[in-house]
Amino acid sequence: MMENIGDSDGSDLPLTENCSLLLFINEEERCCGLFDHISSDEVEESYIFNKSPNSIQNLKRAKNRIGGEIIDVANCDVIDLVSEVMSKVKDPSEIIIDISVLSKPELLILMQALDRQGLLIDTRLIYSQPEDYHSSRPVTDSKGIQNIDSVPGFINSTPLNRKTLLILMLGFEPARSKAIYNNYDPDSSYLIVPSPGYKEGWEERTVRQNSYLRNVLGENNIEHIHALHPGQFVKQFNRFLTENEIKLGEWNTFVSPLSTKPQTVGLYYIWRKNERTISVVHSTPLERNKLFVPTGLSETWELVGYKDEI
Amino acid sequence: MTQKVFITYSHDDADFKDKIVDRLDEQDLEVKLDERALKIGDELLELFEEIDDSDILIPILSENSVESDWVQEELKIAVKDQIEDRIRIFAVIHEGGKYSDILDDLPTGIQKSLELRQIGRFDTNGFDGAFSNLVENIDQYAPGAEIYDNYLSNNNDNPFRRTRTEYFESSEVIANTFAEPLNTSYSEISNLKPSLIEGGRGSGKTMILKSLQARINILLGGDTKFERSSSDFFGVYCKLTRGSFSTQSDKITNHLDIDVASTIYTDEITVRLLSSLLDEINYCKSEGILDIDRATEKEIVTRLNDQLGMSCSGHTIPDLLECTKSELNTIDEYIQRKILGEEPQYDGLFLDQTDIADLSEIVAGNLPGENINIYYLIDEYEVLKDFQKTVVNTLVKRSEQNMYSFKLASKKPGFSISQTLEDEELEEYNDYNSIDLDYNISDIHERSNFKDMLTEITKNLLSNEGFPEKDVEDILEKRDRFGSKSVEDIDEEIREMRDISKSEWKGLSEEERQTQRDHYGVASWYKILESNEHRQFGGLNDLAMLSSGITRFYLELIGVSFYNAQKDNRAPIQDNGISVQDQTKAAHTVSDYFLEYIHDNISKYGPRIQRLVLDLGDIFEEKLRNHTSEPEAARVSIIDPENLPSEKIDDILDSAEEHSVIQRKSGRGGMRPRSKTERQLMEYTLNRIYAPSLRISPRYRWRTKFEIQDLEELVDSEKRPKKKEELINSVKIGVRDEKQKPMTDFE
Repeated sequence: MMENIGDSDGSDLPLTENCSLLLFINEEERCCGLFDHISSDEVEESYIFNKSPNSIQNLKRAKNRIGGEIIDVANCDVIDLVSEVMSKVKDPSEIIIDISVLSKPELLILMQALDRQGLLIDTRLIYSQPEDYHSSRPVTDSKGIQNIDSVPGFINSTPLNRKTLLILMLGFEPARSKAIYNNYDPDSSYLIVPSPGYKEGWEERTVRQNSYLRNVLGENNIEHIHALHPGQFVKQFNRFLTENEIKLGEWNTFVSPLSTKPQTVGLYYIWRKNERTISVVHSTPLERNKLFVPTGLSETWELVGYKDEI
Repeated sequence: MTQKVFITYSHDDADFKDKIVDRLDEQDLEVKLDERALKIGDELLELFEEIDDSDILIPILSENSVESDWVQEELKIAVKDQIEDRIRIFAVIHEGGKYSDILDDLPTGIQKSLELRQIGRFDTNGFDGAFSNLVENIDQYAPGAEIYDNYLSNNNDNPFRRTRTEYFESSEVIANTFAEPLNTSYSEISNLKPSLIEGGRGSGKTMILKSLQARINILLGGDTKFERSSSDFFGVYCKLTRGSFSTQSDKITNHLDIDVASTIYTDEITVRLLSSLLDEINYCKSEGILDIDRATEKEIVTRLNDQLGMSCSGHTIPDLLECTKSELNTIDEYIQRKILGEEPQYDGLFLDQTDIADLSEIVAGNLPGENINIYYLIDEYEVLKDFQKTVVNTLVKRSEQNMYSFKLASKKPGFSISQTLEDEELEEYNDYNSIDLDYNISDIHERSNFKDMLTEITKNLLSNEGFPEKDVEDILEKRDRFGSKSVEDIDEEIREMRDISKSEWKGLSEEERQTQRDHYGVASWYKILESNEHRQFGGLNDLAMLSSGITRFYLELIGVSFYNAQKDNRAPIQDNGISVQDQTKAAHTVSDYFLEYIHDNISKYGPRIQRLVLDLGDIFEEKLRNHTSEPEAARVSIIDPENLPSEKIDDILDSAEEHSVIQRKSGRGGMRPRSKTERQLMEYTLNRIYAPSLRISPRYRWRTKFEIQDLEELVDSEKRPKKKEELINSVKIGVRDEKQKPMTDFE
């Protein structure tokens, strides 16, 4: 299940005692999506991780509405950021994390670190959608490829002589998916299209933008999986594997999450269940086009129910 | 399927727009109009959505429209879309416009991208003529993605669809298609000595390694079983894809001490190689390729377990594979905890570089046959970090006279690190054979070898698909020497270009005229082509030349040519072969595709490398058209190589070379300075596959000299415009009376 947190009356998200709130702040409006849904009085401790030098306004809002310690992680790499977060998490009864502006590698590594310490089961993940990505045009997303790299801690241990299977979870950045495809030279590939998408028409937009891969791989290699629902993602992903008779361990399997963060949460649980049979890879764009920033704030969701699906 | 055409125009050009639309309506096209031509702001975004649904964009360029911000913004977007193969742009110049003025008002990037497709010249060609050309162009350039879809798809019968080894569906198809390289000795690659195999992307490295893989090598030897007599080596193919090792991510190596990382990686690579070897044995056993009885399997497993100091309780290869997995898990756990700030104890195997020898010996000694050696066939060595290369180099160095060997394949210039863990050098000849798979097309002998190999591959591919075996020379129609242009036209242009009077020309012997044609005929041909006319390509020689010595480019060229021919409901192999027209169209499609490929597929420097190629193309095109003594001059000669390494340009050139965008030519006799006082030049050539898109000749007869600083400034976005203009002006100067001879390696 996935629940819309609801009206902005300040108490939509019931919290347990002794809970920790982890906020990640940058210049995107949606990083403040949670503020209207919780009462700061209920939060035992909160940490505001500042991810950007341009986030002054949002930082002020966070400090005023929630309070708590501000930790600057703007110049941290993904490992330092997760280390910093984990150093703050002691032994709370519950952890609330707003994942809206975490990158996908940050999200995966953080989930893994929490999992190792047995904290993931008591972690609640909050996600706010942007209103839009400013422009619907692919030209305005990102440019070029800085590099293609594995996500630390998400490496398969399959023998290197096995054939390569690449599963691309598609988003609005076709250059990145195409670059991964071309750099991996896979023996077999599948495309995952977020469906239904965040919004009406976004599913078609993903397919249209990734038309090259769609054409090269053909309709048979495209799977449609829920964009916003980690539990559905896990179920549908497993069904996709079964229906296509794919045994991940028989391949040298690489998965690249270029789609939504709720899908990435689902991927974590897929990885967890199939530990060391999947490598997770991602590509970093050379330059993000300034026009392609997520703008506005749409709905705020608590990602729930997916733990039961495992 | 009816293609959707979207027309954008300035309101002031509505009359001209109506004329175009009236005529387009007669075609099998669905025409949509930008009715908000002069609106800006948010409505522009809606407009983009509409363009998104279109297959073709026709911007009407006039003095009115190019001054509008929205046109420029829209074109920028469409150009990007064109690169992504989502839309095709066919700009038209308003009949009342002035081409040069209009183009000058557009940014250089847009200009060049528009020129990649022919621009409809309604200003000079008359409405009817220009409209026919427009329709022809639309028809001629099927979208790249559609072409690639059709000819790469496994569901079609294009015999040239398998352009990557990974596309070959079985060991049998690989074995049936494989052709030994002819520019190097295959026996040198397959003997016990380690080999470092270099080549550009698509040069056949994976195919070579796979030919040594046990399951394929036996097929090449005509066997179905790995037996005593079939081979003296057992090859295991290992692809080191990015993301294969715990220590490979930049994010991890930034947080680990290099010595610790090396120790861990020695464990990791040794265990991964061993598990790959066991997995290959297991596969061969299950497929009936290899007979290993239970006792032998137990013997192998027990001894390997003891050697590694593991505590595997099972006696089968799958049991041992599970144990190796848990060792890799230990490594990963340690790294995760270490980088996140804990101080864990490393509880790994602490293997050293000699362990691989002992492990390989245990396995090799238990395989059928005597003195069997294990070959580790390592693909994509270039993705390794420097410290990882040092570890692998050490394993290679130690393999001498042991029962194992390494065959490492890397894109160029992948073997940049020669150190081992003991600070020794991995030395060519002593420790390994160096194999270069790229054919030097400028060399007559190598070009001939390349063509022979392509002929064999073509024959094998046709045979695989059940097509009648035919010589490729019979399939590919050869073009006339100067395409549709007569020798008289060419001679006339040569006279003009070389400032030779009619009477002087008449006074030349036929042999002297022929020499002039050899030297300047091609440049003259380019000069007299109409603005919407392509130079023709046809025949094996042309396709081999455009391929720049790289097999994959040839396969794409002949594959798309075949697709073009087949699209007209012809059976190209059985009927009359593939026409020059189809090959010419293919040359442009493939050229466009690979030029556009650079931008998003080369890490870090893709956009800059693409811009550099386009700029060099502009410079060489200018020289081709205006230089009177050295027109075909697409060799980049660096006259001050002593200024390398240059912080700005070094990595960019390496990256371009790795992806075969440029090819380094070194050590050739023809390049040596004429006297000791002359400096040794460093020379690169642009990959010839880009020549059709850049409208330059793929014959690179002369050099164009550059200083390092020229290249540095060309890749600097601020300095680039001025430097480019300066370089273009410098190459316009012809030396009419200087009778310089071209390089002699072309006929």
